[in-house]
Amino acid sequence: MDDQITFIEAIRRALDAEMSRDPSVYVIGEDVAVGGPFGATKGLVARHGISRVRNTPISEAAICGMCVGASLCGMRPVVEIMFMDFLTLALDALVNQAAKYRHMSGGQLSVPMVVRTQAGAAGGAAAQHSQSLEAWLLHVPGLVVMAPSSPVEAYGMLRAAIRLNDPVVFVEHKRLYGMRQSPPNPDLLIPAGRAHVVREGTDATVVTYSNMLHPVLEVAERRRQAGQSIEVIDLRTLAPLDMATIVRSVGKTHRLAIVHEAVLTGGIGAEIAARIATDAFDELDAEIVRVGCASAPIAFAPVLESAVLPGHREIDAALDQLFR
Amino acid sequence: MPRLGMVTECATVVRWLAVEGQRINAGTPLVEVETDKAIVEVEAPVDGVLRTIARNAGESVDVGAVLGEIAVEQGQTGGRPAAAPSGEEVAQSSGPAPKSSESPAVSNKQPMSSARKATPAARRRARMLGIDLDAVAASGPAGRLQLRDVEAVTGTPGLSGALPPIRRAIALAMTMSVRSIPQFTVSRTASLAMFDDSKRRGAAAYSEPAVRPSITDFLILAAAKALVTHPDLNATFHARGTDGDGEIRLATGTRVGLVVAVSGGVRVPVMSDAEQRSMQEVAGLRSRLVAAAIAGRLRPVEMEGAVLSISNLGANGPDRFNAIINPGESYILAVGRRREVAVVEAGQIVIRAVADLTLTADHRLVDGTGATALLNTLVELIEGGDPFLFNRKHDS
Amino acid sequence: MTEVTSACGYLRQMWLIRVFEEHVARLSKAGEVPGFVHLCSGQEAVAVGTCAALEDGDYLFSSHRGHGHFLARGSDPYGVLTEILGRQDGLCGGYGGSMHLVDAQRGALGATGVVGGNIPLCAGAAWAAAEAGRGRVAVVFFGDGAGGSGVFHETLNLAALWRLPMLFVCENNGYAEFTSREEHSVVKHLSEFCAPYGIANTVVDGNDVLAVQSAAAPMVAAARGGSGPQFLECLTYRLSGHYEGDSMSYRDKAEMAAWVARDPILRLHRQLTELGVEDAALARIEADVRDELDQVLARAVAAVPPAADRVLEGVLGDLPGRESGA
Repeated sequence: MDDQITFIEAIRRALDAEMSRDPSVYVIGEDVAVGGPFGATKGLVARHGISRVRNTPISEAAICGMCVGASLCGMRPVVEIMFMDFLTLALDALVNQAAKYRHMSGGQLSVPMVVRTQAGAAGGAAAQHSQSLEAWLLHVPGLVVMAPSSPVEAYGMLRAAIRLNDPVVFVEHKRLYGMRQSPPNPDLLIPAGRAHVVREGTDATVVTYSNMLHPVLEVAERRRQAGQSIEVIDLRTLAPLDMATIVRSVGKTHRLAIVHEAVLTGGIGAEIAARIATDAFDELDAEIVRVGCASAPIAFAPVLESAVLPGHREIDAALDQLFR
Repeated sequence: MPRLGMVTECATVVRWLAVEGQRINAGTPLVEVETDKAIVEVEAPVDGVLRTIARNAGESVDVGAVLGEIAVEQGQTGGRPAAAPSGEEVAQSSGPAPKSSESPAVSNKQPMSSARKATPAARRRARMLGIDLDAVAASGPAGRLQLRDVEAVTGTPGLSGALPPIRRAIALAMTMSVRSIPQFTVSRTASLAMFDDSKRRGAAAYSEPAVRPSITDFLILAAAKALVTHPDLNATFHARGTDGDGEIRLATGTRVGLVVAVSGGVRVPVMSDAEQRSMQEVAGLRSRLVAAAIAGRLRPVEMEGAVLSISNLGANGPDRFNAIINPGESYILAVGRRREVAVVEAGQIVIRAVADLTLTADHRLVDGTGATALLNTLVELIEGGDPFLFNRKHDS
Repeated sequence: MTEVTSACGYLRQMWLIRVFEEHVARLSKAGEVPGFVHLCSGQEAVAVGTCAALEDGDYLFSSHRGHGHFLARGSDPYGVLTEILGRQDGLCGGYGGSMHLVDAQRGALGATGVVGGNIPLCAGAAWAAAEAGRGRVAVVFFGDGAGGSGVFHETLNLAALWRLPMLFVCENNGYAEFTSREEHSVVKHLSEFCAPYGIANTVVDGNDVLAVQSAAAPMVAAARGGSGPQFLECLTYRLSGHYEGDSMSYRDKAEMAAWVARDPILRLHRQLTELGVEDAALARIEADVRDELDQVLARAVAAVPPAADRVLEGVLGDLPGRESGA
């Protein structure tokens, strides 16, 4: 009997669990009352009532602003922004309001809201529906950014995100939505702010997150058979970065690669590389390499999309460079 | 810097064979460079004057980079373009005044921070271990020095736990020696009185401390002379099969090895025809060979073919010890530490400085009598103060 | 409370705001105020009249021109002034400044320098209030320039759809920054946008505090009672520039003179006189306010700045990993 659950089901269970536990948790977004465009909210209306799972018009700016205001007044809203590309419309609320409130008010108020959004290329969604924009958010002090890499991770991390008293952008990769895994322990809570060493190794460190964890692990396993021992770190929380875990790893392996689907330029990898070059300079036995999307919009035709996106080949090439 | 092979991307300058301002002819070896395979000489491509040296001893140079500049005189045709710049080309770095061609490839006085390309981790490891980066061969891309290169020199095991190259080489060699050479030892205690005396008399002549003759130089010279005195023992045994059969090959000239302690193990540079050199020459050559051994820069010709090697464990060494013959050689002379003992001379008890000499010999080649004869000649030379030892006809 | 008593109360509050802003103007000219400051001199009646209709627990969101809103809501003038001066005793500890005042315990949940930026926040507060079921309302103040902002229209739509208990208060002073209404909006009054959304709306003389209060009170009650969002447009005029330092060369002198004659404080003076209040009493109200604010001023200019070595704290709350170098 296959009792595995999908990533999207894990999200749904996390929302359900938190809504059951805390009556101040509300879910809003476009189409969420009917289960959401991806099914993440299916059945929640029936269990928690129509006022707690509410459809909104296509008004990203207003609904994110509303979430800010509501969380100032004791609510814990979880808003779904259907594509991360549309986060652009909500940036005033996220960047100028949500991220600033705690600090700007001198600690009088905080913003315990969660923005769930779907990022990443999914094959033919083209330039305005395929982006991974998390690096923008890392740049804004006051925002928490989390990106789960699997159903179990998503469950534990979303529950923790909802319980945080600060604004969280929860980045889900579209391609992971169908991923199946055995269901997590219902009590699972994966706290924000700590990276996860998924696989230990001694010869090189690869830092990654979200969907790219899987090709990285596959490459690492192939290389293990060839005698290379690769340590793989899943960031889990992208902002703030858990640099301590990365520094510790580089202190052991002396080689670092960072892999993400997002554009290379100004990406999360660039920040990590710069920090390691400063904070762990003497540990390095090779240049730091990064793998990411090339600097072009993700075009429509499949061959164009795969030409810019990173994959096994690029991860291999990066590791080859590390071991020259 | 010419391309010397399909793979070589860069090399390290060992030493210049000409000085700035020197007139040179096309084809003359100008500079010795070391690649990962060998030390080779780069020849002058044209006639002219060596105007500038751009890379000094110890510095790395990429293929295609400027090694130096030759000023070509009017009316002469250029040679191969590789190292013949036009007058407009500027040396990438005009270095300090060129070192003399006699100076060793490595000087212990150079600062630890080197201009060489080295990763931060390698630099730090070298710093922690007190290793001069210039003394380390680089294996990384484009001549980059990496952790594994420092580890190779120190003998620190790599992260995988494998034997570093030098330890492995010694393990193999000693195992082979003990397995294949039936070896025995003879010993004598040699008085150092005469040695001390000659040293005192000759001290004034030797201004540079580094080349003041040591007991080792004395022994090298004595060993070479002893081999000359017993030409039938100046030979090596070449086995056929594993049951002890084989043939004896007499050597031409003398080759005396010196066991040098390096980080992680030993290397054995070899000096040829020491008996034809003055003490000062031997001392100077010994000094260079030791430095090259420490740096891992010995040329193949300097590492092979010894008949007898000398192993001196120094002032803190044991009173005496038995060394194991290096494979391919016939003898090894183990020198105990200098110590003072009471001896009887002319019916009197006097205090003399002595050292125990223990000669290990290949029994396939020589018996106890022969080994004793060789050892006795050695001791006589050391104790006898043969004026030949102070032949200065080669002094510069 | 009798009509006269409450009206005197309004007068006192308007004087408080007026004199306060005079002090801020002087301090700004003297270089004591860091950054931008936007004074609401001339618009006091809108803040006072509206806040008079609110109860404890109601939420308030303000604009960049918001000192009056906070003072009208009861914020301590010392806390407001020290915040404007960037001192540790400020409402926000010096971290917010003139445009980002927050007085959470009075439900004044923020001001913003992004025109219209907190209109949706007010809708969110109203949404939370509706769900909490304690009958609270939320009010947001904004100028007529906010009508150009997309999120203004998005929020009108959402507030109407969800029947949110909120009051939109437009302080229509005829100018968006340096641009007159005619240049920035097709409608004369922003309340004209309400009809398509089905939002109850009123236009009132914003310089008549009694009129403002009379208009606001039933609207607040209606919102509180579940009738959905309400929109109050107050026609007013700012006596000072868009910000202190604005030379106001874009304004017509005659236009200004006409409005000066309609000063809200003068208006209320006349109304109170008609109700039988003596000049001496009215003068005393002003004098008391001046005395109080003189002391506030003296304390405020002497107040210490915040400790700079704590500026990295309080960006995030719970997370263990404040990252190295953050």
